[in-house]
Amino acid sequence: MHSTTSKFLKQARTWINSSLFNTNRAGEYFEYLLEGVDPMWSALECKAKVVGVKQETADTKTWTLQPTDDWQGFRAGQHIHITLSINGVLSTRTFTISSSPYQWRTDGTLSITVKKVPNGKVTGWMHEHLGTNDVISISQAAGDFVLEQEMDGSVGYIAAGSGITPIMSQLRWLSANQMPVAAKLLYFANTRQDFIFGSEILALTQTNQRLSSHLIASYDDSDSQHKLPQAPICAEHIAALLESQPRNIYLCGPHPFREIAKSLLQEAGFDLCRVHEEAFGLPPLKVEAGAPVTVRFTDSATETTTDQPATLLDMAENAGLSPTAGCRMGICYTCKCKKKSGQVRNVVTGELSGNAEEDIRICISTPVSNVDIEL
Amino acid sequence: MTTATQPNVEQLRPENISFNAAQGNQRLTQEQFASLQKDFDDLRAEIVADLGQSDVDYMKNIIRVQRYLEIAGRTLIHFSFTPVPFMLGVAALSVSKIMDNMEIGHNVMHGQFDWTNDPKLHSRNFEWDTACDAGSWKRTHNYEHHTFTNIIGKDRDYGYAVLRLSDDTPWHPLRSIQMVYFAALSIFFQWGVALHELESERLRDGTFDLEEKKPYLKGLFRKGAKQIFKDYVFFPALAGPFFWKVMLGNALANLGRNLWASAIIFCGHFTEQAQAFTEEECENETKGEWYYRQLLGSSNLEGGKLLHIMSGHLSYQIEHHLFPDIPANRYEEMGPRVQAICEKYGLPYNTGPFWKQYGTVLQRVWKYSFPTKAK
Repeated sequence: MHSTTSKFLKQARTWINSSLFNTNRAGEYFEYLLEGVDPMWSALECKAKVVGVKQETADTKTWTLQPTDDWQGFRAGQHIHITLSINGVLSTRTFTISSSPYQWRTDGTLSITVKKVPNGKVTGWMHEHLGTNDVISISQAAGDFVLEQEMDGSVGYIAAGSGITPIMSQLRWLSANQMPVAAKLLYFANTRQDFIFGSEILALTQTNQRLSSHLIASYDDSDSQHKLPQAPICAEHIAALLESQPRNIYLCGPHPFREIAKSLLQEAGFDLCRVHEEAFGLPPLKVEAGAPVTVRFTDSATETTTDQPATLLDMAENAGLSPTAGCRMGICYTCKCKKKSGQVRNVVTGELSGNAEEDIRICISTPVSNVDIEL
Repeated sequence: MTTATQPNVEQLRPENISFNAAQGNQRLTQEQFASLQKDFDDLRAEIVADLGQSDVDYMKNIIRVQRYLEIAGRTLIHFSFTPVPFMLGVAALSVSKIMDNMEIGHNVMHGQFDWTNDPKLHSRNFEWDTACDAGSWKRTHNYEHHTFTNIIGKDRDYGYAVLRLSDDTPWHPLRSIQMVYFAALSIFFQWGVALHELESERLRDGTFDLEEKKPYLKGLFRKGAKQIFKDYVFFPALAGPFFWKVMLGNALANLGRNLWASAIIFCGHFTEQAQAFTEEECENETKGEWYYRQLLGSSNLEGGKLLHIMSGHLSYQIEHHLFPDIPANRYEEMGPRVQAICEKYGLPYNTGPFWKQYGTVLQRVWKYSFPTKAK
């Protein structure tokens, strides 16, 4: 009874909003007015002001953000989506928080640490232009890459490159709480100079007896001529980590690195159910050569045929359309569209959809049959 | 060019009004069409490459002004007890509706701002302050009218199925009072636009039956009810005993918008020089020929910045029809370049002051009220 009433009230509110403001959310009507008065004001989303920028390594910077009061905080290891305007184009990307929840509680700020991706439109722009007093939009924190509420047994960490960021948040938080559990870190980077937070990690290790760390650089210098195709993690590293008998292992880094680490852990007899992973970006798309498929974007009267389908979002963009999209990794649902018919595969989980009409996220869907999509 | 003088009665005799094919109307050669296409494509590419923050800022500012005017207008109508503030309120609300429909809604729904990736400026999400729902508009206007511009029998905007505007449409006794239809269409323009997709003329001749129009009718009633609720129930009811005053104010504001919007839109394609085309002429047409048809079928209005904004830049109807998805605020800078391309190929660039152009529209409606001899 109660739920029927509240459902009815919700529908009534949506109807009234759409008749008075031509949008289901009244806030959209007022959004630009608020933004015009103060860029930190919004009826729709949390805003955050950049209060500090710090160069960490040659290609990595940390931005400290002061969010508005409606931001609800986070647990160490979680991520946020940030949305910024790059020459008028809104772009959303997902970054893990590198600061400790303790910092947020004391001064109301959080930090994100971002490596400049070669040719990356957003990270490149951030490194060049995002400075103090700029205002960006941020989402509430989300993600399961967090420490368990009831911690028993020690924790193992395996990080590669900028995969250190969520782990750093946890290390800082553990250290601020006098290390309630023991922790051991394996951290891989290309060269000595590429260890983000390298000196802070060493300092934390020295002050906290229950924390040990092993920083492994693959090369003496950044001579990319000698770069190996895969990260140099090996069974000895894993064996050393497992000596401390960790209850849970937190693994963060590029997709191929994580695959190697997991297979090594499995070989060493560690239960993969106790491995927490944080994915950075989409796994490489498996292109299955097969019969050509045709995707019809019904609202735009456009279609495209290929025997090497990419994600539907990429295909739409290549066909000259501009669908709204956010994180491009299946998290934010900005790109959600109605598939009218046809079968798609989720490139993250590998799951196949049915043929019926349903909402899909086009950034992580690739067609396996002819597909009609309302776009 | 003659100056805008009152036509005398003699000139108004239907046989004395002539709508010559516009000067320079010999069709171009295939090579010329290819070169024309390249010139327009190049101009388009140059502007698209330059789109950025300033275009977004422009549209956001227009939206802010529209919002402030709507809030001011409704407040004045609500609280006014003498005619002057009441009429000021009516004017402000009417202007806000005009801006919402013309400079904001029409342009955003063309996808002119889809590239910004801002859901509030995206053609898929946008809904406007008029009886016609966005989905129906995009089907009838964006698709039918912009694809088949001025092709008799295919572009249903050409005369809106109630006006006879050229010899290609056979005369019928009911056409003799088409000046009355014209006036009624102008006064109730928003409902005329909303009913456009009903295609009543095709229902009558049995092209399809009412059953097929059910989804459209559902949308029509849904949107129409919301508009009536807003202007004729909700805001009047807020005023309690002054219900009728507010209702009158809102009705006048809608009337002002209807008259203005219809006048601007009729000036776009029904002027003296604007040409109509037959289906046979347009079979298998190339992009160059499509540009040519858009160019010859449209006419511009000369005026200041205010006219351009209040007409949603449809004063640059030619530029709009050549490049419907380029942000309208760019048409002003494109105008002289389009004109130069026209000169290069000896094509007419139809333009004139508002009253003169509107005068020729009235003459055309008047002239074709009468049967004309087949040539």
